[in-house]
Amino acid sequence: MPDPRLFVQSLVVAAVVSLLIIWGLAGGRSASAVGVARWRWVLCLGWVAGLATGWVRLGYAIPWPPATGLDRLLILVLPLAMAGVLCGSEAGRVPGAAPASGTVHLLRGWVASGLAQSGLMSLAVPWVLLWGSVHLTGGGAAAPFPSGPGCLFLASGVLLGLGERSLRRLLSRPAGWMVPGSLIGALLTAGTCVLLAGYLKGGATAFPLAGALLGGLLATRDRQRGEPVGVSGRQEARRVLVTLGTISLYGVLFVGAAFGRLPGERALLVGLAPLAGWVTDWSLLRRWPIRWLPWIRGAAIALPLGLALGSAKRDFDRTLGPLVGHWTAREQRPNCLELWSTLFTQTGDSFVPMETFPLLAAPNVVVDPCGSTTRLREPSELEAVPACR
Amino acid sequence: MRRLALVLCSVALLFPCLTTAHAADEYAYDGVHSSVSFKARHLDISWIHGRFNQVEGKFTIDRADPSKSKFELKVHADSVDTGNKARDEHLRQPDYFDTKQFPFIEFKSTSTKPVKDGFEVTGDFTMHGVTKKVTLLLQGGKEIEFNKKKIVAFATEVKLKRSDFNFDKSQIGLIGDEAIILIDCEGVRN
Repeated sequence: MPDPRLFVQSLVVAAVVSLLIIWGLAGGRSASAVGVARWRWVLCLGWVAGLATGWVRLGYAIPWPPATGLDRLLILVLPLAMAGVLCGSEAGRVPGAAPASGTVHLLRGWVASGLAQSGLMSLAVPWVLLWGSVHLTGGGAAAPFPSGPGCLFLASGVLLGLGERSLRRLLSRPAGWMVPGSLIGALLTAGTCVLLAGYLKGGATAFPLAGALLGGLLATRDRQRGEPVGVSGRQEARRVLVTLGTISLYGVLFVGAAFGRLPGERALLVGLAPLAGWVTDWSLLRRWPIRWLPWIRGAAIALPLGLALGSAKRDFDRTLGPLVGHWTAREQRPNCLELWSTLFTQTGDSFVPMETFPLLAAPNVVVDPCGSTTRLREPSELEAVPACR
Repeated sequence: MRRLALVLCSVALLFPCLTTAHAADEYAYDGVHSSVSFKARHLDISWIHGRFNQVEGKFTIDRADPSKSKFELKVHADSVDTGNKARDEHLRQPDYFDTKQFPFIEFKSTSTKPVKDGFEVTGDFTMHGVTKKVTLLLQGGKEIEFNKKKIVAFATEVKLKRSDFNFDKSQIGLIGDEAIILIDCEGVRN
């Protein structure tokens, strides 16, 4: 049985370890005082350490060889994303290099802008995650082509690339610090939705991922106020967090939808929720006081996440809940029509007042018309609750 | 001329051997009269039963030299059926069978030896991406003729530990580690 406390512990452990390692490696300097290149290394190391510690806290071993989609996310995709973060931008900036020819200059500029990483990510990540699955092989040697859903999953890589570019741009807007925060919220929601859809290991993975990201976000909080927004260590650190966070979010939702039973529309709702932060760029809202922006942005992001969580919980109560004993009295309560037909059947032509029947107070708890409550252990006990006559 | 005589002599000597060589009988798995089912402990107090509705297979039985007999079985993991739709969906997920990644459970024999009332078959059993050597004691093998078809049947059961096949250890507890797989199959040849 999954223990929610374990998930929270893995989140906290990952955040603390990540925060301490980043602080330790940054040498205790303020976020803006650390150089851009150093920040990338420090953040990536802290993030990996936090993720690994949180993962171990969940009780899982290192997934080697990477046989499943989730294994490939942790062992291949995330390390490759980090390699892209560490090397990609450096490749475009060669200090002291001789002036390059037109094509080379263009290529360097393309790599430096991060478009190369985004493009590669869009193409490669879905392939790696789906490798060897029925989505790519079509279910057997007879049809070694991607299935219909497989093609959709492959195409979803475009959303990853565009989403990451869009969120990186959103960072430079006022209240840009909310972008990594929104990714943490979306990751936790994604994990919970995947958990409730029945894929426990896939959902649990989101907690250390979010924890490591949270540690990074806290570490990049600058203690010196009034620093101008621009290209600084802190800004670069947050860009790194956004890249890692976007790939983590995409990965959790992807394995949940492709290998688990997370509905595609719910995965889209959660995945696109951080982009709702752009709502504050709407011309109507631009005129509002700037101190309101975080609240508006937060609400715009929280709304789809809340909807996704609510629908995930509803589906869990209907399908998997009864399997693990989480049934609710609401499911057992007859609706008006059923109640009327039950009354008629039980009493013949005589009328029985409605208030003689127990009412729902909370899951598993019923209140009879006299006001006394009964906690039910079995659904069948609902019938045995005494009616007040 | 001498060479031709030598070849003719050789053919003459080999011919009786070729004609008396016994061809192995190949049977197709009869899905209508066969079943692959399983049971596993629930909360360590009762058993949950289930079956796989889609199974393919074939087996070759060499009566003259039983060690040359071969058995193959391919179970579609997606066809798991425990009589509860929600539980079946759960079992298809990566915490259990991970049917999108590992669509088949397969057995391929590598050695066969005859025993009393059947065969002892050792082979590669692949489940959840992990292949292990498993020995099955197949009981049966008697061939009968029905509606101009020759039918042979076998029954076996094998105990497996889910943890040996890389199943998620955190999911072991509610459902026991050990599962018993029961195979009753009929093979048909014309």
